[in-house]
Amino acid sequence: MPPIEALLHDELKRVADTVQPGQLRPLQVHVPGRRWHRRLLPVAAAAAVIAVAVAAVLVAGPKPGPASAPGPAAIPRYYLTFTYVPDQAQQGLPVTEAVVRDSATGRITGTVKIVTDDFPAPVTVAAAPDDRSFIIGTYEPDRTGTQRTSYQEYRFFRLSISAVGRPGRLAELPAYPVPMYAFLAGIALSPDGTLLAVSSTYRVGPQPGPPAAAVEVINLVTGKVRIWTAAAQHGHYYEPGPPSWADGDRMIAFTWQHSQSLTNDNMTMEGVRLLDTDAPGDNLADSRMIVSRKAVSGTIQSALITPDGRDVLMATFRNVPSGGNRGTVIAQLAEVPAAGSGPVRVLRTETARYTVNTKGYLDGTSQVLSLDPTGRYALVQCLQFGWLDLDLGRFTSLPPYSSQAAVWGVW
Amino acid sequence: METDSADVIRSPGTPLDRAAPPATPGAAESARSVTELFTEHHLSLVRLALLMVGDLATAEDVVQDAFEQLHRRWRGLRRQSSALDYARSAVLNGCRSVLRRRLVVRRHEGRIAGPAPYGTDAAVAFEQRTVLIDAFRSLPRRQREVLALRYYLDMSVADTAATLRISEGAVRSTASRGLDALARALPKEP
Repeated sequence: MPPIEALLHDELKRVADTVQPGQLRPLQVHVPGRRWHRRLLPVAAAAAVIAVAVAAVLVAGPKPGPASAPGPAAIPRYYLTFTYVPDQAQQGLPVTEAVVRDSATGRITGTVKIVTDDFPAPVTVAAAPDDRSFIIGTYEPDRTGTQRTSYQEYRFFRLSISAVGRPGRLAELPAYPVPMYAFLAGIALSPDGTLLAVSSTYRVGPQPGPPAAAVEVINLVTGKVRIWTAAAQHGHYYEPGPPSWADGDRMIAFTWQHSQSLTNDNMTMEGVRLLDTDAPGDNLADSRMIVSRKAVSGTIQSALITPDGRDVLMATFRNVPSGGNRGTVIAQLAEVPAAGSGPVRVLRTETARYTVNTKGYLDGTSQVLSLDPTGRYALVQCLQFGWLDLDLGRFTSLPPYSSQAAVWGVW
Repeated sequence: METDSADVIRSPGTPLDRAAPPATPGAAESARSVTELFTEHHLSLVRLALLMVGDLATAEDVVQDAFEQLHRRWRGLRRQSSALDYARSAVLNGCRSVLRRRLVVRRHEGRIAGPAPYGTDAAVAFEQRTVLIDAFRSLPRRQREVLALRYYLDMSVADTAATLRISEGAVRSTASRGLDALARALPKEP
């Protein structure tokens, strides 16, 4: 090879080799196709049931069975969103109202006001696996009507829904300790409904200073509480996102952000971490990073792990061009293998134009809000609010129809 | 379906989204085939795109787009054994689009507000540029493509011609012109 060709070959190779495999984002599959590995599970299960049934009939002869077999997996019957309404009983101040809707039709079946000393009251919410109740958390309900208590008075309520979707009264659960001055990012109930995971950041002591990150598990049956914390270190403090359960009541996943510095509250998303609650210790920083922020394009807004622990459903957004006062926001929902490698499956992409006035809230309209107990159906917002069939990759919009603001809801 | 007036959001309702097509039996297999192909060649395709466009983020986007194109057209490919050729072509096409857009933006610089549309991935961009690489980047697009395929991917003249859909003679002449330009750009030895 003549010198110029050899030189070019070496130079091109040298430049190209500056890219190493670990630097690359995984490729994304933009296919709303079925999750074949999941699809095989019910088929295998059905085959096993049929085989056992046939064997039983052959061995014992025919005998009457149950009147009907359980139907196929379906979306949760009801979902809950929150809205703010002016309340004349509160001098017209806005109060938070939980709105119960039928998932099939979007029809409102009932509402419940959540009145505290805050107008409107900030809430956290988790759906119970019974498809008929929710746990709602809020700061200091106005029990005396006069005195504001400290932020350690975080309380949880159970909201039960009748078979026709009528909400009952909020039933207060016994007070459970949440760190003083805590800001709660989210709560989640374990698959059996007994353990409540709580993600928060809390101020260490009454003096201003960097907050600590905490994930708690509260046993709603025994009242026992276990807490993992991570103090500020290396010039950052940390913030866990809303929790989600995997592997029964053992693993808890949450997003993980760090601050720019101890005094700069701008947060940088690191990715998704997994906490093994069976492991000893109470250091939240010992949780394992399972999905890096580099796994997806754009900024991670929220993420929930599927109950089987295989995948993480993520909501992201990015602005094109980045940093401008006007442009396009690209909201995306993607399923990422929890193992940390493998192709990313993009389930939905929506775009909208933004201006300096609309950029802030449009960035917040990409969210994974809630997964049903099977992990197949997700309540999401990708500009539009609705639900997503993860197996089929199919989205169905639901009220409140929104491409204008973040919706807060669960099922 | 009603929209409740009490909702915070009062945007006009949109109908149920029926646009997403039902999954087809071949979709999962197609996804797997394409995934396997790209898992094997992802790195080399990104490196190829990097040579063309000069920064890693754009190179990754180009390869991602090519990946999607290939997936969409997988079942329509006449020969799936030629998928890698198709992928390379798609990557080069994507690079051309990027470069065209950059050209347009450059022409309108001063009239268009906003950040630079490309460029400064400090970790991986041409941080150790040499005269040769600078000269390579200043070559006409077709010459860059031919030289990258020939001298980075070590493709034969015939394969280069097939990938770029030009004649073998055009490959030879384009490569020759490109090499001459590079030779002229190098400092003369004393």
